[in-house]
Amino acid sequence: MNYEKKCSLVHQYTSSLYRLSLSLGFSANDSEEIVQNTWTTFFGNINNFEGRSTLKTYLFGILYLKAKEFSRQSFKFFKMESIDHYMEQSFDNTLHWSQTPMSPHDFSEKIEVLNIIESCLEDIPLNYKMAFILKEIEEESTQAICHLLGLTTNNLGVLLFRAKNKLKLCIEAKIQ
Amino acid sequence: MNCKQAMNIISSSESLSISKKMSLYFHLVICRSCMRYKKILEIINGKIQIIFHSKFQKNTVHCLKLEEKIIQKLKDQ
Repeated sequence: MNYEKKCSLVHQYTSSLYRLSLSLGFSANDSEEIVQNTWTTFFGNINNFEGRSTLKTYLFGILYLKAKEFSRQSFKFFKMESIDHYMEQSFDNTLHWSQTPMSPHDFSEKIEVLNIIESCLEDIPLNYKMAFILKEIEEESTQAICHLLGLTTNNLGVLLFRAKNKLKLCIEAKIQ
Repeated sequence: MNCKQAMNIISSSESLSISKKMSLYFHLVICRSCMRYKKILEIINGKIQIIFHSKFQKNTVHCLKLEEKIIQKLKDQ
């Protein structure tokens, strides 16, 4: 690949990579390092790209690996499984809600202060956050996300279920 | 469809068959609690998009400098 083509790719995708890294919770400086490492790996192994996913998705996959490497030492593991148990308890014997969820209007008013959500996002592990961002923010296809994260469709559903309910419960706990 | 099944479908963002979509739709029409749950998740998604967007906006200059740095590295190679 020639220099002009490489530059064109850098111009096209750096902002998406940088935005993803920031969204995963890395600082601006850490994101800079992660994005640089992503490009170095991509250009160093360019022949590995077989075109089975879009280039953007492929780059996201490399960035995810770099983010994991970067955060390995400080990576926190939370027991996301406990969310399943908590959600089980939200239903009565007839499998209907034991308590009606808060009105969306009240909920919306109470979370005007966005740092409540930001602090709850910090409690979501990297793989859950990545699945959530790719599905809900980047609107990637289920197939592409599963391929990128090495998950089955069911696994992805579980990750999204836990991430969303963990966020919801955390936010509710802070605003009530 | 019961509320627990509806909640699972809503939160796992699974691709639905037409019959499942219809079941969910009719459940949401009659169930205020599940509709609230769905709307709350939508509000959270919307707010998160705002947070991510503003984080990126604050660092746009840094991102442009990063682009230049990467291109300079490519030039030097």
